Amino acid sequence: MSRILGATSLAGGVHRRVDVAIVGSGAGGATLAARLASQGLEVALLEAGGAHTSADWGASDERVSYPMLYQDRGSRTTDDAAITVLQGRSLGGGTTVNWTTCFRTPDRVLARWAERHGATSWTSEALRPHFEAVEARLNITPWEEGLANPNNASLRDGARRLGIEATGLRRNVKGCRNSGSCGLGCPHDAKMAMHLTMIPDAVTSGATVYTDVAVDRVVMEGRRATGIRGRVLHRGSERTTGAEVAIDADVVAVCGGAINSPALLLRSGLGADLPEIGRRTFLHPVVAVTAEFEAPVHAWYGAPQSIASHASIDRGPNRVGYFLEAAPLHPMLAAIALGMGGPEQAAAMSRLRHTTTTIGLSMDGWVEGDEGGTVTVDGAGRARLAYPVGPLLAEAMHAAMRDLVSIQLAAGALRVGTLHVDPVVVTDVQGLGALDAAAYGAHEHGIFSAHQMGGCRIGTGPGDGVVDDSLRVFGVENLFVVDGSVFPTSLGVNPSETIYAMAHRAAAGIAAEAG
Amino acid sequence: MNRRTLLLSALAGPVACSATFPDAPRRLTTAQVATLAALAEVATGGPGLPTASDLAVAGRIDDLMANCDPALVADVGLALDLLASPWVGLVVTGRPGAFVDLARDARMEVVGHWRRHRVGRVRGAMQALLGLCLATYWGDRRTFAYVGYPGPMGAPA
Ligand SMILES: Cc1cc2nc3c(=O)[nH]c(=O)nc-3n(C[C@H](O)[C@H](O)[C@H](O)COP(=O)(O)OP(=O)(O)OC[C@H]3O[C@@H](n4cnc5c(N)ncnc54)[C@H](O)[C@@H]3O)c2cc1C
Ligand code: SF4
Repeated sequence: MSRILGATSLAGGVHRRVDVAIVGSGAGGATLAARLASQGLEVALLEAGGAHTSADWGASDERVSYPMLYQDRGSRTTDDAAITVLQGRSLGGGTTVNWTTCFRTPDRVLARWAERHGATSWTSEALRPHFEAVEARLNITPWEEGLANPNNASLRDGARRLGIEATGLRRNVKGCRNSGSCGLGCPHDAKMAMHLTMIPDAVTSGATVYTDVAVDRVVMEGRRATGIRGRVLHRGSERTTGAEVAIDADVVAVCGGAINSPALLLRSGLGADLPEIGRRTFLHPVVAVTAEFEAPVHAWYGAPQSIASHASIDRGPNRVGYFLEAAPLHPMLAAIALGMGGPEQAAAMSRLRHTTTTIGLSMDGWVEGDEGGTVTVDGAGRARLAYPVGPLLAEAMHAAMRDLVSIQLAAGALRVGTLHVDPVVVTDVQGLGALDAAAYGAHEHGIFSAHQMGGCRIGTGPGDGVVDDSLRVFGVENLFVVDGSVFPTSLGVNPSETIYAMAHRAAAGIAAEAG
Repeated sequence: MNRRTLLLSALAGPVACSATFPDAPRRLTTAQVATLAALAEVATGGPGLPTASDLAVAGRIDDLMANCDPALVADVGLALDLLASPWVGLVVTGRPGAFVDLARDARMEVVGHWRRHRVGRVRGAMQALLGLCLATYWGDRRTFAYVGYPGPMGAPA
């Protein structure tokens, strides 16, 4: 019998007992499952999305991939619809659709976590062997700068001409054909996503994977979690089949990712004792500019990201830092990002092949007064995310757009535009002042997120966190959270490698609890 | 997988995390689909391009709704009902009339008014409705030639 079971095999529901039940098969859950199963523990890995593979998404068509592979069929937003939230939902979670950029956690971030948030054991030294292990398994290696597509080259060349640091980066790929479809599912299985790496590893070691299963709650008895309860969904839908899932476990690990994990803990009744659940949720809010070049750019092809600039990540104690990267530009996503409609939209779309998109990601939750957003659940148990864009963030968005526009002009762009309702269009450096007259913040221009973090953060106690240094939920001996939601701040770098390494390291403590 | 399902990015409404829906699929009403079609018509198309009705934009959005969280469908419906209200036309253009009955220019005026509305959530609602129409339209292969997009680079050999 296959160890990856989906809706069609689960018509009768699931009732069983295991050593460890893991909710969520993304970066955290899959890595944890592989580690625990390899130690002989009986593991059930539960995933709300489907067990989709390249056979399903084929050549990576936007119309197929977004509804299949993203939360809420691609429609997730903040409560006020000001921020479009791209978050994965299928076997492999966000790793199936991410753009493969990998960074180790910056030392200054770990130092801050230790100093202010009680994450004292998460030192670079302690994490090193775990980074090395996941780098080996996922083939995280430097991506040759010469392979940068024109979209990324515009960021590199423009930044360097202005004396702004911009460097190559590392990716988790093997045999990448530079197709540019990472965000739609890799058609060549070249991306070392969880469904091709850690999940097969876990299954080989005996884990059972249940897909199309939405976990509604963790079952609590006093200070212990006794298992999970959930429901089977029709594949490719959010409607239940009526079949129920009840798994009893010695240990439960919640790995649903930010937004989802805090929502699950709240639905499980833990909010009364743990008031910090859902608070300090971070998004690395993204702003973008588009730039038109004389020559075609074809920003839809080529690795989505080859270059990054962290020159402005540390802007002092009272200013939110940001980093700059590129983003792929396929027609459907471009159409939404431009979002104007009418003849202007048609004109912009006709120039899309000459257009680059570069992005600025704000490091939210780092400076005093910028606390991120808050996840709550409504009466039906659905997650809601309120995310205020305050003046500190708005200032960073303005500064990031100014940098991006300057860089694109230096790279030779004919004209550079923002994603404001009435775009600010700049054709030369003298025109940069127009950016200062524009408004910044929610509903003023497009804002996006592909990096959700926090909401179940590490802390010193229930007054300032949700989990302790070993990622155990405060007050519940056998309940852990192992995903990006445990970050006490955002990272200022793309988060996946940090999550892989944290899960890899946390497994030892969780195995001890289960054993 | 139904290949006609589409991206819903930028759609108004709360995130719906692992909430599950045993009910029958909820769809838009006929009047809501008509308002959506009237919006899609002014938001998309142009010289050398198919029209929104050529690509059945409104109907395909309605099809998509069948697989979505009913709360989301309700939010979209609400935004469309508001847009359809004759008061909206009166306030913005000085002429009463449901959105579907307004002339093309007047509809564009209403869209522009909502996109720049002083209340952020109204701006958000219009961006969401536009996002639906634009995603459905520009995600259609029949617009790729205009964009110069040859399509995704290669399925596995
Ligand atoms: C378009 C895009 C591009 C990105 N690019 C990069 C990049 O280049 N580099 C990088 O480092 N990061 C990138 N990321 C972010 C990165 O992929 C995520 O940070 C990472 O996958 C998060 O890991 P996680 O374990 O926290 O959760 P996820 O990987 O999101 O996994 C959580 C899983 O749990 C499931 N789940 C949630 N709740 C439940 C429940 N109640 N029941 C059952 N299942 C549930 C979800 O469906 C999901 O599959 C990108 C993300 C996106 C969306
Ligand atoms: S760029 Fe590489 S990893 Fe990304 S989808 Fe194409 S082949 Fe796969």
